[in-house]
Amino acid sequence: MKSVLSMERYKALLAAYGARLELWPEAEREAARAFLASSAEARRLAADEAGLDALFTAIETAAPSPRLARRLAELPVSNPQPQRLWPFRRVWLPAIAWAAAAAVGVVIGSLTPEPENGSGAEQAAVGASAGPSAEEAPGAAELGDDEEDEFFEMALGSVAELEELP
Amino acid sequence: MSAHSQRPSESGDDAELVLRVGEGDVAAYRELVSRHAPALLRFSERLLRDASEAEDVVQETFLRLWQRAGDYSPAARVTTWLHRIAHNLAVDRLRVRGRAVALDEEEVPVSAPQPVLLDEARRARSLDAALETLPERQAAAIVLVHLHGLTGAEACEVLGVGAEALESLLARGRRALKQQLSKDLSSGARS
Repeated sequence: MKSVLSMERYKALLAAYGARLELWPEAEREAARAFLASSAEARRLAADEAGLDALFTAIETAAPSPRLARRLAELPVSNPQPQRLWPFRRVWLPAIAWAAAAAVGVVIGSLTPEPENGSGAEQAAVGASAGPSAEEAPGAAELGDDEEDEFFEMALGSVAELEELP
Repeated sequence: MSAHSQRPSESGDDAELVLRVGEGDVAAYRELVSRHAPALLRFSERLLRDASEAEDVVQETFLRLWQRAGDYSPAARVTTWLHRIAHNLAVDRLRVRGRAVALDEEEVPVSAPQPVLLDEARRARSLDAALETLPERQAAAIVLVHLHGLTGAEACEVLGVGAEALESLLARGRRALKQQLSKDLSSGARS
């Protein structure tokens, strides 16, 4: 519903904010425009205030004195910034990054099929991680014949013991 | 130069500059000083009526900016945030001086006829001088809204008052200024 401005309210706003409607409270601007369009008295009152508004825009702003300008320029040098616990701009940015990474991990984990036991890939992986072959095993190549036999007996014995396990 | 061109920047990158200040960026700090120091100085002078104290307030305001840029919330415009800091610092000084904060009771009697147009520059100087005769809070409200272009809501935030109180401060301030301009016109016409 469109709000309607009374003459009394219009005068109060005009007295406070002048004729520049962009300074008026946003909620009452539209009603003020409608009121201005419909009332010659409203336009006359606004014209009276417009002279003062124009003067406000003509007032010059003085630059800070050289003394103040120097003090302001030196301020960062003589006043180090306090140490921040979190050196980044916003705490929530890294938090979101961590949460997103965790979510991606969960999704990938739930979509990846469970690997079957003894699959070729698994065996290949086990084989690959089993370390160097007997031929490459350091020390084996350096053993004498007797020592080599003893070495293989120990190895086979270990295998047999493993097979006896429940 | 017109006051318009010297008003605090309306550009949205003020907030970005404050974030950079929080990271220790001195160039961003200097840019904010260049944009906002003149307006903050005028605002503080109107409140304190003392150029030296006003300079101290501006320096302290920018010290807060330098050391507490991380406290800035982009919900408020940077100019509003800085004006609020300066206002609070100035009010603290007024309290120390023993001046009551509710200074707007010093009502100027009103029977002002509408001022007749003089040349604009002279009238602008008269208006600037008349601003100094206003009670501090009326002057502060006028400077915020009519000179620095803050919205009513932003001015309320800076001054810590409600919309109704702000309207009252502004209306009484404008009325007193018109009266003072009218007096200046009369005395100018006689001389």
